Amino acid sequence: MIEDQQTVQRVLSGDYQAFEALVEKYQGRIYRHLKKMVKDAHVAEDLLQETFLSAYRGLKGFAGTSSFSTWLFKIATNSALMFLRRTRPENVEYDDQAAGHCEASFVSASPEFLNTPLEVLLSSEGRKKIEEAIEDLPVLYRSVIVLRDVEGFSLEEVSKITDASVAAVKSRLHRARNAVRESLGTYYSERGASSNRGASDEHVQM
Amino acid sequence: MNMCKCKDCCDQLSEYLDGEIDPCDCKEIEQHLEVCVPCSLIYESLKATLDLCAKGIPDDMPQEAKERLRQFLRTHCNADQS
Repeated sequence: MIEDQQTVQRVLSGDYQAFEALVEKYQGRIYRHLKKMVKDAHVAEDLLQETFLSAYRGLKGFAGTSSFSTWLFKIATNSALMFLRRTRPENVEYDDQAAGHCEASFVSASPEFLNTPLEVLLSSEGRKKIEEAIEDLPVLYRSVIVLRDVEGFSLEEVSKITDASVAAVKSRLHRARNAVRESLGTYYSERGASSNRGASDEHVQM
Repeated sequence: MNMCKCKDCCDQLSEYLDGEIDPCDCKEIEQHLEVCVPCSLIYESLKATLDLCAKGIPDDMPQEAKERLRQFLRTHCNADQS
């Protein structure tokens, strides 16, 4: 973090290579965050360019009261939300009211999910399911789970980035995490049931 | 299974995993998880979900997109400077 502040100072004194070092450091994470928010790789790339250009132009206004990464993710988040409000307003404005979509409830845990080995959970198919489960969430829930659980920001940092209270962040996280848990649980339960059916069909054929 | 206790417990699991629950309530949650199998499974699956989110989403920005970003910024930032 102190390292970022020093790099920012170098950029402000006219060192463009220092800015490229910041881009190199954060481009992958910002791109991943934007791609999750807008669910479109091309749009994410446009917003990524816009984010870094805004950061460069606004660097003088970066007060250093938060970390550089928090400040940068806030610019990216705002540009994604502005894009979504412009193109898909129905998906942004009513998100909290649409909370019923992923109401955290008592959906029991799937034993198949818990018994699936990590190498399967993290296989390319497993990763795809995690991504799909996150992408199915309304955008405000999607952004908090990505910022907290994928990017590792603290609750306070997520609150700053998303302009929401810590209480709202906690509530959205609770719903988002449970919705992803349920979604993965359902997938692995069905997967377990179909492989059991396959096994019993083979047994009958024998 | 006490539905009221189970609901209270599950409602707090996300914050519990974030270390946001005060020690007294933590103890209550832990005691409940020890005796309630359905809630302990929900807890385990929630913990696994968080772990998968942390490890399962790759930072897979294509090399060409990195190059386009570099060129875009060089053009626009240099224009700002001149």
